[in-house]
Parts: sequence; structure tokens; C-alpha cells
Amino acid sequence: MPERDEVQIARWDAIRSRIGSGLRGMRGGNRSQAQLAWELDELGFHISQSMVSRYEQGQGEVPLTLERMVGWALCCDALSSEHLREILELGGYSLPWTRGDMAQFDDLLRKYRALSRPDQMVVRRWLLWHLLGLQPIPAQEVPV
Amino acid sequence: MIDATVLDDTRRQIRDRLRALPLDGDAALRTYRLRAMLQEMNVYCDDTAALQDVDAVLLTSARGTEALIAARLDDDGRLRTYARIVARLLVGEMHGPIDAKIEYPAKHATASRQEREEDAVVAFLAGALADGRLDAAPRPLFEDVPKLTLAFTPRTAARSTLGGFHLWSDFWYKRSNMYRRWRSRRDVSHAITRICGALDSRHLVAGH
Repeated sequence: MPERDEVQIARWDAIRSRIGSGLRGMRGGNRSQAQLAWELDELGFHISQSMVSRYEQGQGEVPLTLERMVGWALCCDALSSEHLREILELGGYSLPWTRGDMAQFDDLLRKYRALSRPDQMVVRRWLLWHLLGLQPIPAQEVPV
Repeated sequence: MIDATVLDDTRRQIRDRLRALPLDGDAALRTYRLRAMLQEMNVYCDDTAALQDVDAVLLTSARGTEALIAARLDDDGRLRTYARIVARLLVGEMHGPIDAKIEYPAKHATASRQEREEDAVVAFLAGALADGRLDAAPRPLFEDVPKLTLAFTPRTAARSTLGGFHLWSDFWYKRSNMYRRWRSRRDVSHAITRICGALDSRHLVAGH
């Protein structure tokens, strides 16, 4: 585990069960943990199914980053959900998008759900970069 | 929100550049020119995207505009796809805060009539662009044309009449498949070029 401050650990301990509840809410009942873990992995997050399970139960040891929270919501088409808003607030994060903007992001994701899985992942990956305001890294340059 | 001014500016710059774009060379060279033009307009192009079924994705948001082109395409396919991206930027409707347009390899069923019409215009305009025949598309799509106005002198009346023709042509090109096909015919585009020349001397001077 990376070295962390006691204060950081204490804060994470205080909020992680509520974060877990939000994560469960975003995933809903129609998406399995395995599917979510696969999609997160495709997006470039190194999160296994067991990590999905642990975070949802509030047992994740490492604080969830902004990128992971947004990626989680992106995979669950839950960018405009109240759950994401709550966990971002708990984590002390914010995004420069309004609720209406986030609803349009979700609409866009739903609109292109008919694409093949690989094509959907390409669109999602780039959407994630736009959401977070980062410069895209070509696939072959993504650090492992 | 996507800044409409930025998109309008990109559109205007592409229109300006398109008219001066050389038409010679093989598919790879012409693709290179279109790509360079897009990059100059701050449209980031990545033609190594691992797209399996679709040819390209055009993404735009307040963060910028990006075109993802499938790596599997051959030179001709890449030229036609870049032409579609350019055509999409010229005539497509992009809505904030983020929008994406998918370029499919074949005609694709879409739910809304507006999207169907936009796709059809993009397909014809891209075809004209890839074939090096911009004259096969209505001039208002890629250059400033005379406007329909209240005209009182013979010269301004002629230009105003021409503006009316352009308005009519642009209207039907965006709505009628039959008109698009007819407008793309060589004899028709030649006849229209002659009419434009007769009604607007500046059109002849410009060499169109």
C-alpha cells in the first residue's frame, strides 16, 4: 500500500462506507460487478472484480480517486445520478459540469449503446478524457 | 457548453481553406492535406483508433474537438472518412456541452429525421470532396455567396437573383435525395457554374 498520512487514512475510514453505498447505487441491479470491472479495465483503470466488491462494501483501503469515481459512473451511465454527486462531495472533488451537462453525457452514452463493445469503449475512453479535461494518451503510450 | 463562436470560427476557416486545397495527388497525399487542415483548425486527429465497426468518431466539447479515425482503413477509406469529418464539421449540428458524431461505413438507420438528413448531406458533400469535385455541391456550403436582397440596379439584381438560386439550391440539397443526386451530376454542375458566371462577374474572376 502506498504511504499515506494518518489524517488521510482517518478521513477515508470515515467516509468509505458512504462512498461504497454510492458506488452500489450507481451500478444498480442490472450490471454485474464482473462486467463493471471489465469495463473499468478497458478504460484503463486497474480495478479487479474483487476490488469492485470491496469498494462497494466500504472495505476499499486506498481512497478512491476522482478519476476512478468518474470512470465508475461513466461505465454505469450514472454521470447525472445523485449518487455520483454525493460521493464527489464526500471526496471533496468537483467537476466543471452542471447536472444538465452530466445528463447530456448520459444521453450520449445511451445513444451510442448500440455500437459494438470495442467501439463503445473507444468512445467512452475519449469521453472520460473530455470529462476530466485531460489530454488523451494514445493507447500504445498508456503506462502499465 | 461548446462555444458556438469557436465552432463557427472553425467552420469558417475550413470553408476558406477548402477552396484553396489542391486536388491532385493520390489518396494518401490528399488525406494528408485534409488531416493537416483539420489539425490547423485545432481538430486533434488520431487515425490509430481501435474502432471495429465504425469508421470514425467526431467528439467535441468545451475541451476541444477530436476526430478518431479507424486504424483498419486503407488509403481510400481514410480519405473518404476524413472527407466525412470535414463535411460533418461544415454542415453538422453539434450540441453542447458535449456531442459525438459517428461515421458509419454504410448507410445507417437513425431515429430522427434531422439526423437522417444531416447524414445524407454529409455523405454527398464528403463524396464531392473526396472526388475533388466541390462544384458538385451547392456553393453556400463552402463559400460566401451573393445574398437575395432588394436590388435596384441590373448588376445587383443579377447577384440578388443568383442569391435566390443559391438559397433554393441549399434548401433542397439539405432536404431532397433526388436533388442531391441531380446536383451531383457533372452536366448539372457545369451548367450551374455557367449560370453563376453569367449572373456574377466576380464568380468568373475567382476562377470557378
